Amino acid sequence: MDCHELEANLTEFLEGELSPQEEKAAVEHLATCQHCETVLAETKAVVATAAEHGQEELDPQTRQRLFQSVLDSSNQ
Amino acid sequence: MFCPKAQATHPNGAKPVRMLPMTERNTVDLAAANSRLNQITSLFEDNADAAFNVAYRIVWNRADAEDVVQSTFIQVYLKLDQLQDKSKARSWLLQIAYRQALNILRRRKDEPTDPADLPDRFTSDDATAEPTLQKDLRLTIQTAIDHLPQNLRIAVVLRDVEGLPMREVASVLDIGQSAAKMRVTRAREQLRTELAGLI
Ligand SMILES: [Zn+2]
Repeated sequence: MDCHELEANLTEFLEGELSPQEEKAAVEHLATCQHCETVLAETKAVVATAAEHGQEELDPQTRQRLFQSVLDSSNQ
Repeated sequence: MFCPKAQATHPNGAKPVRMLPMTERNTVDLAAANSRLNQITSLFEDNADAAFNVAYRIVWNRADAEDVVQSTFIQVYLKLDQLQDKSKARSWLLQIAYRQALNILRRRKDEPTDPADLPDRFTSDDATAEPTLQKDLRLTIQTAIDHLPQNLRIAVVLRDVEGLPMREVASVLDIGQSAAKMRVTRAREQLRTELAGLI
């Protein structure tokens, strides 16, 4: 597997969707390629940061108000 | 309404024969209503923020996104009986929220719909935010997500922020799984470029 193939298959790699042979080839390429190793590490950092900090949240009062209005509307 | 007297007199009386099935039916109704209440409560607990998150990333203001959450869960409550597969509840209701948010966007023609056209969200939406907070990791990733084109933005919000499996991302967006994967891939690439050296 070369750099181009690895980047093209990065999402499948992260999703665990590559065949065992492809996965082995990817791991071998990553072990020898600084560039792809960096791409992988940065992508993982993006995913982790998005998971941890990407959420827009309702404030508790708004949440409660919305839930109450859902219940009220259904009781009419 | 529950009537203990009718139930108590049933074995010997004539009229309670009619009363008892009523009571039973009401008990069943009550149990069903309670079960629906429990369901909508836990669905709201588990998914209200996700619905808000998706809607906000489309309509770009909290009031409209809150309206989407409200009308989404009203629909969900009304259609609870149609939900056969409980494991699909999350993608089902997020799809309702996604479509409602898109409808709001379509109805709103004169207002900017691209975040690039909006004033900086953290000075307009959140007056308490200090400019120095721009350096904060949260704002960094939020802003980077804002800058994505809408189709990539919602895909990555569903997959990486909300943690939906790729097949559910595809189901919410009503696209094929490989198309969903493509959007997530391109979104991550853009985020990686924008956030290079910051995370
Ligand atoms: Zn490489």
